[in-house]
Amino acid sequence: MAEAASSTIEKNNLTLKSSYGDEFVLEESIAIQSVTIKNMVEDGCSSSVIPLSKVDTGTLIKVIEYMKMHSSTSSNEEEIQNFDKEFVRISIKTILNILEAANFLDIRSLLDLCAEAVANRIKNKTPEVVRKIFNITSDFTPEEEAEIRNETPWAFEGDLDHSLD
Amino acid sequence: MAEGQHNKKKKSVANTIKDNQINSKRQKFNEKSVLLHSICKGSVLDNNIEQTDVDQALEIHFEEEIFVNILSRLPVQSLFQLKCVSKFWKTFISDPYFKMKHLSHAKNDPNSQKLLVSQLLFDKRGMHTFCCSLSSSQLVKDVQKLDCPLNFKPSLKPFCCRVYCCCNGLILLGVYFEFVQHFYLWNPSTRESIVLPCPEYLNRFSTFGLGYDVTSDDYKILKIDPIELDKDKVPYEVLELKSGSWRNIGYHPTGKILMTAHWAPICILWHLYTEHSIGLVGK
Repeated sequence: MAEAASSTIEKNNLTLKSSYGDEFVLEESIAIQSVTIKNMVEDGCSSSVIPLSKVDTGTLIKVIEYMKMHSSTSSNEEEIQNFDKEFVRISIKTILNILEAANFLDIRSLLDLCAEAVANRIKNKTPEVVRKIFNITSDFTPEEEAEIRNETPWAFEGDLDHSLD
Repeated sequence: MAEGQHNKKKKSVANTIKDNQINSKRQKFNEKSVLLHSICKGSVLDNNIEQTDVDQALEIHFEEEIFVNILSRLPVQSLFQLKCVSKFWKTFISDPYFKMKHLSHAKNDPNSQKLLVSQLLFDKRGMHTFCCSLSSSQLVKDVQKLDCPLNFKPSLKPFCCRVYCCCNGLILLGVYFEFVQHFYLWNPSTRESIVLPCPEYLNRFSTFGLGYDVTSDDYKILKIDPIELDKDKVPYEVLELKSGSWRNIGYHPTGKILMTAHWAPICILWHLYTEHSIGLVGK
């Protein structure tokens, strides 16, 4: 009996700890959208604080916000779609952080949402801007780069976006 | 009491397992990150280069799968541009594994499904090709003119063109220069085309099918002839692209064969993009 009671209490809430040491208490039913956390719960490994050393506080807040909305029974499909649209109206840097966290936590729908958002952001960007976004310096010589451009000149036609975000 | 102690013990074991699991997962994660750090590998950024806030704070530790997940959502034109980003990006985008992933994403994406419309110009002896989105909201505004491979050889004025079939974004064209038919495999997304050999036995009613064979990782074209009055069986021929020549696969009954080819204007469905024909051209 005592065992059953204690496991019921344990099942209700989980504590997630960000890389900054901030703790967030979350209902288990919400948190198990993360397959990583779900596996821990199923293996009985979630009784104490779950440290997420890869996820900073700001990112964890966003991930929790997403999980709460997506487990809410009161919101309809349209509300969730609108939420998703608004959710990714943030800097591309933040989206990339969430993407990394979603991959670690194994939340497929969030991963796809962020991947789609990043793809949409870089779709019309110049190679120079994409380098800046991903923190890359070109290792091509100007001649090599010109050669690539000459292979498919049509791909470089049209207006490209030079803004960073 | 005994039960309580038992629980306590269970908990501590559970904690150890959990820590181990987290550690092993974390370790795996870090290993992958190190391996795939090369995604952002061009050369190390020079500190003197003026940076924005975005650059300074961002470090990319993506796993390959995340990178595939993002890039496979991009249109072909963007991918061709992004080959300029760095040597690693160029290699990654040109890799057959990525091309396969990009194709399978396109196949499942309704926005990638396009309608191809071809129009024969009898007076000018040529063909116009257009594509448009299948989505009703974009049907009109999204019409795009395509560079048909015929347009690259303006000196050759085709007498007639046929769009036979399509598979994975590749289109099989039959083009009559005077009375001789030539065959092209065309990828409108990458604007590449290759000339195919002619089958041994061909008449103006021969029809073709194009398919991808997973077991041999090759595209195959089947040629079938319609019924002839004096014969109840006709030779079937198959062209395997990797082999580059037609192979007679014996005589088979013809019956009535539905001609999939039409005289213009015709409409066929095709998927947006595959860089697949880059590989084909190479071979």
